[in-house]
Amino acid sequence: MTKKKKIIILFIVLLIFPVILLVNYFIPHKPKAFLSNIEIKKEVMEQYPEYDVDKIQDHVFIDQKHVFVPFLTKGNDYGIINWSWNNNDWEIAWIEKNMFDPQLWKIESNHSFKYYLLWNINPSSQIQKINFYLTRGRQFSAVNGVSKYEPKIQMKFEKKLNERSYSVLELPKKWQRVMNDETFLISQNQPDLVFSSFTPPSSFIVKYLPLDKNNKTKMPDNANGSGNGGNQIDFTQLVDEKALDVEK
Amino acid sequence: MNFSLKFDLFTNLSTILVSGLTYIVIGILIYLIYKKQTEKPNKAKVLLVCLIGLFMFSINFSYKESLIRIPFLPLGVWILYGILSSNGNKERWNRYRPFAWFGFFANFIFLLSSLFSPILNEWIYPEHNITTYISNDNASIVTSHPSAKPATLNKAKLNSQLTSMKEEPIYSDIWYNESFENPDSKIERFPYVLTGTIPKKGSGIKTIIYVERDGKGLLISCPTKQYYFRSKKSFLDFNVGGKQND
Repeated sequence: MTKKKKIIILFIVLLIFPVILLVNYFIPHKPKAFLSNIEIKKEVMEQYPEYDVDKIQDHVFIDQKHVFVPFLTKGNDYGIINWSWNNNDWEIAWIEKNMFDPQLWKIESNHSFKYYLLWNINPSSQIQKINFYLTRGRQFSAVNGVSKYEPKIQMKFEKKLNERSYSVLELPKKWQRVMNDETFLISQNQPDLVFSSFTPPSSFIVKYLPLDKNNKTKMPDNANGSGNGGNQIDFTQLVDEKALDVEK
Repeated sequence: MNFSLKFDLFTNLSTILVSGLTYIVIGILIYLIYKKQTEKPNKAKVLLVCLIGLFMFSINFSYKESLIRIPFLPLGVWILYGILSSNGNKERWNRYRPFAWFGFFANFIFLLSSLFSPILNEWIYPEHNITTYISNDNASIVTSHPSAKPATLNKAKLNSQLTSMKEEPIYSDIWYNESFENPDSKIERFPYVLTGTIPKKGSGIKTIIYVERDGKGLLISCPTKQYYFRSKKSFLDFNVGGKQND
């Protein structure tokens, strides 16, 4: 009898342990204090050793759970690490170096999305200003008597760069309103998927135009950057000026 | 973990009402049949038999975006007959037979409710009535194309005309070609987006609404369809040389 009891108790203990772990995994945890520079380097060394982080330039808190860390490599490349709190740990959502295109970080906040532009561009590129565009092509369709027309979208804002090589910029509220409307529209048929990582791709594209101090288009000299990570990050695309409609 | 209940609790009021009513009716009918039986069968087994009785071969087709299933052959009833009357146990089969057939019959109730649901939906949320898509008076506009004249939304003018706006056909190909007629200044017919609108409560409708450049038209874009409404007077105030506010 006692042996049988022991086995039962052992079984229960073995069963309880993973249950506790599982519950702990799903209960929301407040973010721990953010990592120190030494811890950041260690994490990168373990996961992405090809990014030889040398100097960490800053920790920019976008909100409590998302931190933007610009850095320099030993080879003097400019890089970015996107850290996000995954409910148990700080993890690298994205890491890149020597990427010219500003990135777009889509962050869920209070039942909608916020969009942030991030970049870390080598000052030797001589870029003084970046024009950003929210774009979508004009489309029409007429299938089975159902006519649809999608107007062309082209919105613009300008950003002067300062002395710092890196920056975080929230997209204009107007842009975010239109982008959120579209996100909820295209995911209406799968409402459960809105906040999963499986959201259908947006038809909007954020584009950018880098300009030098004479307001001339300034293309990147060497575009041999690289990036690694999950699906939270989108990239902006270099704009084709011919495809833009003229402003009045 | 995300709990997005705020969004999903009332995806569509009419669907919830109809399916709720359907289950109540089915529950009552099962109870009535049970009460009529002189020999009371096991209650849990009754429910199980009804559930299996639902199995059927059906003819399916879609009509107006909803799936219509017309019951054809009572597959569940056959299965139950096979199981319950095995070993010549005819008496057991007789006890459960009404419930097995009711399970198959319930498919017709579901069919009826699937036909009724869109009717109710159309009654509460008329498809061709603009107030289904715009139920609040707190909208604003965003200029979404450089060909737009600087303008602000005149909420009073929009709200007073909302109920009298007329639906008109969408000439998508003409509009598309129009915008390329003058290659020097490409003009967009709908250069503003109306944001901050809320559809009628419980409809679960999601939209993007575009505003026509003369300020008299709204193109309402839903996931599968679009609706185009025109007003008599413009509800935009064009500020000549004025500044655009955020």
